[in-house]
Formats: sequence, C-alpha cells, structure tokens
Amino acid sequence: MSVHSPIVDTAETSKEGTHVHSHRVRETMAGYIEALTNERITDHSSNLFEAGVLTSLDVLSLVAFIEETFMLEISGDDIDMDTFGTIDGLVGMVTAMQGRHRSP
Amino acid sequence: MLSISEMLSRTARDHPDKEAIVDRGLRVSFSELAERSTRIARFLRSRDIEKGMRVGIYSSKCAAEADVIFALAKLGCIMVHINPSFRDAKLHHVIEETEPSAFFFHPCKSAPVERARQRGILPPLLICLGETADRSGPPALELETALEQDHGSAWADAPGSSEGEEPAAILYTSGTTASSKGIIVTHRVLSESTLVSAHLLQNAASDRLISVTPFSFDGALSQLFTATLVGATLVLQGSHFPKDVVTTMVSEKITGFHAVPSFWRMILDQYPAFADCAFPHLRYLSLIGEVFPEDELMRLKRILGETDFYMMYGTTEAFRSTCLAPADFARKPGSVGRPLPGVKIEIVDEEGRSCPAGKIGEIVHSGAFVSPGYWKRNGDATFRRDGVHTGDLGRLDEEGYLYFVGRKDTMIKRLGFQVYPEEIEACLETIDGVSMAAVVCAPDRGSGPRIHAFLVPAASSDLSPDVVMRRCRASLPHYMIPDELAFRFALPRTATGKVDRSRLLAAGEVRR
Repeated sequence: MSVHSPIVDTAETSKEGTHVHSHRVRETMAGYIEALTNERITDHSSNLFEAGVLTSLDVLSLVAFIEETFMLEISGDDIDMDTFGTIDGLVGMVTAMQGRHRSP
Repeated sequence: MLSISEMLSRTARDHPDKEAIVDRGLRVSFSELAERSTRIARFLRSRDIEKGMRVGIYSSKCAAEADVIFALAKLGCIMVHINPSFRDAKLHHVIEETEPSAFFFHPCKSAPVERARQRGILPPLLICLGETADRSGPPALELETALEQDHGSAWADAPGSSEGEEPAAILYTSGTTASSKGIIVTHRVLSESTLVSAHLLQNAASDRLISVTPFSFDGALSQLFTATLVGATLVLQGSHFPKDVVTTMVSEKITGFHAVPSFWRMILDQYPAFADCAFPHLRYLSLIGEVFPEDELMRLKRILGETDFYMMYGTTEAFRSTCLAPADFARKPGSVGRPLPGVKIEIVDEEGRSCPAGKIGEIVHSGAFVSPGYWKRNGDATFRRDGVHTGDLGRLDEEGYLYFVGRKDTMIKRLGFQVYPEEIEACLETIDGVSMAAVVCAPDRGSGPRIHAFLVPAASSDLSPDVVMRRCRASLPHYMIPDELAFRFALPRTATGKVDRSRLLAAGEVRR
C-alpha cells in the first residue's frame, strides 16, 4: 500500500474550521475509494456494498487506509453497514473520532 | 404434491398476521405476502407474462424479492434470480442464456441494468423494486405503481402451474463466466426438499430464521420456503459485517442460522467480542458447503453451548444430499451425516467403480432432489444414468456416514501423489500467526503443477515466510509443500462467504 501523508486536524476547532476539515476528509475518502474501485462515485449517501462497488475484500484495505491517514484506531465494533456502507457514514465516523480525540 | 404457492396460501390462512419477512424496519405478514404476490402475478399476467417464461430478479436483499418469488410460483414462471455480486460479464451471460420476458431489479442495480439494456438483451418490461430516482438508470416501472394498476379481480392459479417436473427456477453457479451454468430446479424438488428440510430441522412457527445469502443460492431459497411452510419468520440480513450480524441475531431473537463454515470463521476471526455474547434463542446452526477445520468448529460449538449443529452436504444440482443430526455430532466428528430419505450416496473411483468404505472418490447422488440438468446444455457429464456426479470428493465410513474431503477439480496429481489443497490449508492454519490460508494449484508449463499458498496473517503477528516454510517442511510430505507463498489482507469471497479460489487463480494473482 502506498504511504499517505497523515491528515491530522490540530488547530481547526471553530465551527467553520470543522466544516472545512470535514470537507477535506470527504475528498480524501471519496478519492481513495474511487482509486480503489476505479468507479466514479456521485452519490455519497448510496450504499456502496449493495451496489457492488465495494466488496468484503475491500474492508480491510479501507480500515488500514483510514487508520494510517487519519491516525485513528478502528475496532470490529466500529465497522457496521451504517458507517462503512456510504461515504457519508465514513466521513461521519472519522470526524466524530477526531472530535473525541480533541476533547479533554 | 404441495406446491410452494399452496404453502403460502395455507400459512396466510392459518397465521395471517404473523411476521413472514423482516427487512430492516419493514415487517411483512403472511397475509400481506400472499396478497402482494397475487397482485404482482395478476399484473404480470396482464402484461402477457405466462407459465414457462423466464423472469429475472437482480437485487440486493429486500422484502420485495419474496413478493416476486411467490408471484412467479403462482404464475408458473421460471425464476432466474441472479447473484447480486455478479458483475456485467456474468450478468449478461445469464440474461443472454435465459432470455427473460420480464426483469425485476433493485434501484442500487440501476447502472448495470442500464448497461445491459443498452446492449439490447433485456425485455421491455423492466420493473424497479424501489424508486427510480436515479435519472441515469433504465426506463422502468416502479413496483408500487404496477400494483396500483391492479384492480383486484379474482385470482386463479395458472393452469397446471404446479406440475412437478417442470422448471421452477434456474440458479446460476459461481465460477468463471464461460463455465457458469444454470441449474434447473423443478417444482417437485422445491416442494420435497422444503418438506424434508423442515422435518429435519424441526422448524416450527416459533422459529425466526436469519437469511444471509442472496436468493440465487439454493440454501437461501430453501430457508424462505421452509419458513413459509411452517409459518416461521425470515429475517433478511444484507450486511455481513460481524457487528451487524450479531446485533440482528440478538435483537431479532434468531433461532436458526444457515451458512457456510467460512462465514463463521470470519465472525470468529474478525469479531472477538462474539465469544462473550449470549444467544439464548439460537436453537440451531446448519452448516454446508465446505470443510470446517475441526479446532475452529469446536471453538464455535463451545461458544454457542446449547445450540444444535446440523452438518450438511448438498450441491445445487442435487439440492440436498446428507445431514448429520445433532445427536451424532460428538460421535462422528468431521462427518456430514447420512443420506436424506429417498437419497442414495455412492463413492466412485476414476473408472466409475464403487469404492469400499474408507476410500476417497467422487460423491455420486441418486434418487430424490435431482435436477433435470443445466439450462440449454444437454448431455453435460455431471448428469449421468447412475446419478449426479458432484465433482466433490468424499468417503463413506462403515456405517454409511459421509465425509466431505474437497473439490475434485482442486485436487491435483503431483509427482504421482494426490494432493488436496484443503489438507495443505489445514496445516498452514495450525501455524501461530496464520489467521486464514487458501491454496490453489496451477498448472505450469514444463515443471508440472505448482502449489500457491495465500496467507492472511493474524492481527499484530510478525509472521515470516521462513517460519511458514519451516513448519511446512516439518509437517507436510514433500509433494505437498507450497512452491509460492503470498501474504494478503483478506481473501476474495463468493457471495455466500466461501473463499473464491477461481478468483485467486484468475485475478493475475498466480502466474501461469
């Protein structure tokens, strides 16, 4: 797997900053999945497993990518269809986890 | 013969308000299932869809699939349920070979269906099982709109819709596109296998069965029909993420679970929390389709304590063959049991001679549940006068219990010895730090077949090829030692969850 420079949010704590950050997370996630699957993904709320764009084989690559890129740790309890099925779900998970890391 | 549509009518009369299908938040009763399937059948008949015509279904798991499946049974149409994990090439192959007169699809399949339509292979009557919001999708009628057009005249089953020997379904196997064959399943096989399965598994109205595989698999269809026969509830489970599966098992109080061993091995491997969960409602597990490595099977048995295990063997060509009853589980480890009523199982060698107890040969099934053949492929060597030559290897013991050994086509002769990839996998999986192993043998010009092993290391292991090779040399005969090792994050799977060896061979993973 290629090495990605980690995207770690350090200073953007304002509401606007969070919005900008979640946009970057979204671009990164969509870019990675499009490169992985060689498919253009227009609807970020559509289920990529039902559509057959992602398969079970991709889950571990996806987990490794998220852990490496956003410096997060993902366990089996974080992986469900609501979260991993759509780009919206993945972006929501990453930003929520980063939010938890920031709060004291 | 009690037909599938008669089973539904009877249960809708006896348990009208009982939950038939659960699809996430949607709960469909038997009376609703009976009524919706009748209305779909009436709609199709108004569009000149008749008995004997093929009708395609291409969908992720949803409640409307059951409506359509029973509608087709009522009309006497031949259901062609296409595995939703099939990509364009295989989708087109199935459509071209079966020539459906109507085609149902889930909105998530709009893009591939539109591509098939542009090739001109789909019928004009396309029905979408949800909303056709996506403008890039094919022009299709929404199912609910079709139902609104129905004005509820009395329904009579199509004349002779339940004649036993006629095809009820064509089910396509996985495998490479060219080799993917449509297995014809008759009304009689569906009816008889439903009655036998329900009796064997002691299914009752109190059961709540989880359905994890697409309805293009015989096991999933069999569960739908046994549930309908006895008035049990079928809970559809689209997600195979372990957390989702476990959540459904607990919240829906699942009593029966039918799956391949790989499915359970995935749960054990990827979701350690499973060992600490309690499943007080889980009455039985039925397992089919692969060898279950004994240590992992016993681990699962220990976790599930009181749950009964039924070990089964069958192929779609011969629907259901054998079953090991829970009472024999401890006494006959590794066995898939005795032939079902009406079934004869024989082991034959390369020359077609019957093998004595203990000797490994091809499993031949004759008697009940045999398919009339492959769709549009007469004279295939699978179907012979003495029965279905399954292409599976097994042996019988002195008491006539069957032991499944592996696939005949994965077995190779190397240096004059028979090599079973499953035996090499079992050895590799005993190595610390190996979570899963798949072995494929590929012919190689000049030097004879080569053994390729694909390993998935356990989390946080520092497995090295040297360690693996040392262990292989220590515990395997020389002709079974892998020629090549490769480490992978995960192994490709079929839609049921089995390791997909053909993809390991095909995806350029193995140099020929």
